[in-house]
Amino acid sequence: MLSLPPAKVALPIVATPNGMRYRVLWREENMPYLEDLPEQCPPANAKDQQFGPAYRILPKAEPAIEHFYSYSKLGLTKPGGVDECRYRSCSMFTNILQARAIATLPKKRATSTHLAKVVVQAGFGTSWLNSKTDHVDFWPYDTFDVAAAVTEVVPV
Amino acid sequence: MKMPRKRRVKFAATLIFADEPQLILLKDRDIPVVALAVPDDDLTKAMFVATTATHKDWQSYLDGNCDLRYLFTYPKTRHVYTFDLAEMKNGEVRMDPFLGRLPEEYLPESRVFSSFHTEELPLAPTATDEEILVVDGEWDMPEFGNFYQRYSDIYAFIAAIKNWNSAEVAPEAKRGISTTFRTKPFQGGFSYVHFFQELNERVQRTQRLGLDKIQYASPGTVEIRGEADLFVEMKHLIPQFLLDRDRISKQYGKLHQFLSQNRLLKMTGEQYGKDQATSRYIMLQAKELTDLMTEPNFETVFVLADENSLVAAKIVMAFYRRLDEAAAYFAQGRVSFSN
Repeated sequence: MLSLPPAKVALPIVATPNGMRYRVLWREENMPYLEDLPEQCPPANAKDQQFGPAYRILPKAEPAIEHFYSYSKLGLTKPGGVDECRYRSCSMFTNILQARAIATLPKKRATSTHLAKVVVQAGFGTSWLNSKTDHVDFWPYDTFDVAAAVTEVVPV
Repeated sequence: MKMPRKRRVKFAATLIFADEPQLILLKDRDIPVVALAVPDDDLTKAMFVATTATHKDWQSYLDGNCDLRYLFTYPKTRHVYTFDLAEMKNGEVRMDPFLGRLPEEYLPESRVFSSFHTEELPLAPTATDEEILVVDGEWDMPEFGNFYQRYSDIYAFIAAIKNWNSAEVAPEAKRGISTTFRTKPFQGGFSYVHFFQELNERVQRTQRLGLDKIQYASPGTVEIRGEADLFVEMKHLIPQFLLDRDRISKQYGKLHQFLSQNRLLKMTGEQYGKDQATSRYIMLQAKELTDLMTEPNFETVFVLADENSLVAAKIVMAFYRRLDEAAAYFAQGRVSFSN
């Protein structure tokens, strides 16, 4: 069964004399994730939010939805020390130097060729941004549109 | 030759996570073991290559003084292993020794520093206070290195004395300081080099000097990170030394001459012992030297030197020589404290 988290959709309600500025209201709506998630996942500190640019390490120059799959969805073994929720997240980095350095680590560099520059809008998925380490855990909704999110692809 | 054995280690923390752990920390009791994910044809496995690290190297890595590749390639005493993280049970993995040279495909590239970690390790914060030195005139690289080394030596010495007297510093750290004072023969130059090197290594993380920025121009600036209280002491000590340099130098000369005439310069602390007829005189002369310099507190040095007046005097004299060298750059007008 697909997880159905409460998602929030922005509704513009007020136009001010200063121009088109909207006060944002939210309505709850169930949005399914790209894959089944366990209870309490995403964690309480994660939210549906806009962020970016962030960088996703890619195995080729043409980004596809599979490149945003978690290790769980790819059917890869869960290593020790990783919880079930993180096993189903997709890593991104808000610091390009860090993304490049990590893409050159032995296991990553065996498959990594490019970095996708990603701008995530509210409604794309739930994320937890660690502002101290620049790492993002992202749980995309099943409506996540790679073409809309990726603004550029650069070689590692 | 003794063959390395399999080793059981505890998982301690993930350091870099990118869809899966890429770099992790393990512990064998207190020994840090750093492990890096490596490619493997068998996708059911999560293979890692691991290396043991000394506390000093691990700390250097965390402080950004060396990169990850260094830990896997440079230290002579490291042991290397491989293991499958998917096989971890009860927070432990069993590692197989890896013999021979690590292939390039298992090694990280240069310049992967701890600042790229994606996970936070609970660490004491590093120093955040800042001192700006104004530099002027002409410099060559070795001279700048020499100045910074001398400045660091004095700073580390003052920090050690302060830490020894502080109730907030852990007994373990204090033991480290006393070990540094008590385990050198102080017979020749190497003892002093090692002594100051160790003092620099034993400075608390919150006090450790860091070179933040060098703006080379005439005049330019050097921004140094450290502890504000210690910077204040440095700012007092160096001008005071320059102000009273003649008297301080004469006192140093007097003590040096006495030790030389009595063939004590080449005598180890152990050979000298504690109850020599000359002990009291040496102690008084060394104390006079510290009083003139205003640092270090002689009583503390004496206690740290295990109440051996010859060792205490030699340490105070070594402090004087470094202070004299560092102060010379200020006297030359090439370095000054900013406001």
